[in-house]
Amino acid sequence: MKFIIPEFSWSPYGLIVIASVAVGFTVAIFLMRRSGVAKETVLYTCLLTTVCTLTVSVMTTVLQSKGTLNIGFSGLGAAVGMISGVFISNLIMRDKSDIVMASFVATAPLMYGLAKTGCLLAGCCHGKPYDGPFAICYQGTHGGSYFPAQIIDMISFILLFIMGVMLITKMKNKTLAVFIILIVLTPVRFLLEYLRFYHDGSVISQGQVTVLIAGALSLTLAAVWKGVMRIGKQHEHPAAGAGGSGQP
Amino acid sequence: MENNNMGNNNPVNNSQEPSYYIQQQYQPGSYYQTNPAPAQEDPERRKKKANTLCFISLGLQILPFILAGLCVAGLNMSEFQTKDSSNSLITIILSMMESSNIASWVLMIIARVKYKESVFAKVLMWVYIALIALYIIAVVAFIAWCVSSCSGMPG
Repeated sequence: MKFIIPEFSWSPYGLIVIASVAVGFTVAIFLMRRSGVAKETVLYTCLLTTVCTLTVSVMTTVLQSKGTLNIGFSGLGAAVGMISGVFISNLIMRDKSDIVMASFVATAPLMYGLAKTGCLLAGCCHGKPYDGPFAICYQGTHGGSYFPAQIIDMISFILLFIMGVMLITKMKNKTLAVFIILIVLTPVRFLLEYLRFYHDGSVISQGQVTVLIAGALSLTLAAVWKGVMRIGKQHEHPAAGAGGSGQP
Repeated sequence: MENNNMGNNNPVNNSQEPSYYIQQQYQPGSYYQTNPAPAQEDPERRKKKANTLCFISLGLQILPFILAGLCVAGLNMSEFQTKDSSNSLITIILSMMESSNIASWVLMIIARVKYKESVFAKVLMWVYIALIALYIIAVVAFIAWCVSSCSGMPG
C-alpha cells in the first residue's frame, strides 16, 4: 500500500497550519472554560498567544534562512512563541495561571500533529527515499517515493496530545504536568528527525541541535514562568506564599 | 495555593483554598473583583492613563512601518546592491516589526484589563483583531503563492 500525493497548483500548507492552530486553540479554550477560567482571561490569553505564536513562528523561519529569505511557519518557533504568549498573559491577568499554561502546553502537540498534514500535502519535511509499504509517492516538484515521516510525526504528536490531556486532567499539580509534557516532547521530536530526508546521517544533525535548543528554551521559559508566578503570589499574599494556611 | 482541579467548576469549594478568595467573594469569570480598581481614583485620571497606554500601543504598531519606509527611502542604493545586504535589512525590519507588534498587543491588553471602561482600548482591540486577521490572510496567501517555500522550513 502506497499513498500517492498529487501536485497542487497552490500550496495548502499555510491554510492547514492556520486551521491546526485554530483547532488547537479551540481545544485549549474548552479545557480552560471547563476548569472555570474567566471568559476575559480566555479571550485575552488567546489573542496574545495567537500573536506571539504566529510572529515568533514566522520570525524563526526568517532568522534561520541563510542567504535566501524564507517565509513560513516553524513548529519550534511556534512552541516558544506560544509559551511566551501564555507567560505574558499570565503576568497581566494572573487568573488560574497553572490551568491556562497547562491547557496550551497540552494542545501544542495537537496543533503540531495536525499541521503535519500540511507538510504531507506540500511535500516538505518528507522522509528518506523508501519504496516499501506505506511509502508516500509525490508527483512533480518533490517527485519520488519516501518513508512516511510526516504520518509518523502526526500519529506520535496526536498520541502525545492525548497523553497531555490525560495528565492535566488527572494530575493535581498542573505545573508538574506542564514540565512532563515538555520533557517528553523534546526527545520524541529529536528522534523523529532521524527519519527526515535532510538528516545527514550524523549522530546529531543541525536540525536536532535546533530541537534541543527549542526544548531547553521552552523548559527555561516554563521554569521562569513558574518562578515569576510564585514570586508574584508571595508579593500579593505574603501569608499564602510563606507556606502558611493562607490566612491573612 | 491555586485551585488545581481541572474538572472543577467551582474554585471556592476546596477547603485548602486561601481565605483571600473567600473574603473577596471570588466568582468564576470575575477576576477583576479580586483586584479591584482603587475606588478613590479619579475617572479622568484613569482615562488619561488608559489613553497613554493606548497611544503608546498604537505608536508601537505604526512605528515599524514608518521606520521601514524611512530605511528603504533613505538607503544608498549602492549599499542595497548585494543580495545579502538586502536580505539582512529585510530580516532586521521584519524582526523590528514583529517585536513591536507583540509589545503593542501587550500594552493594549494591559489597557483593556486595567481600564475596562476605556472606549479607546476597546476600539484598539478590534482594530488589532482586524489587523491580525489581515496578517494571517497575507501570510497564508504568500505561502500558497510560493509553493516551494516549504522545502526550506525548519519544521
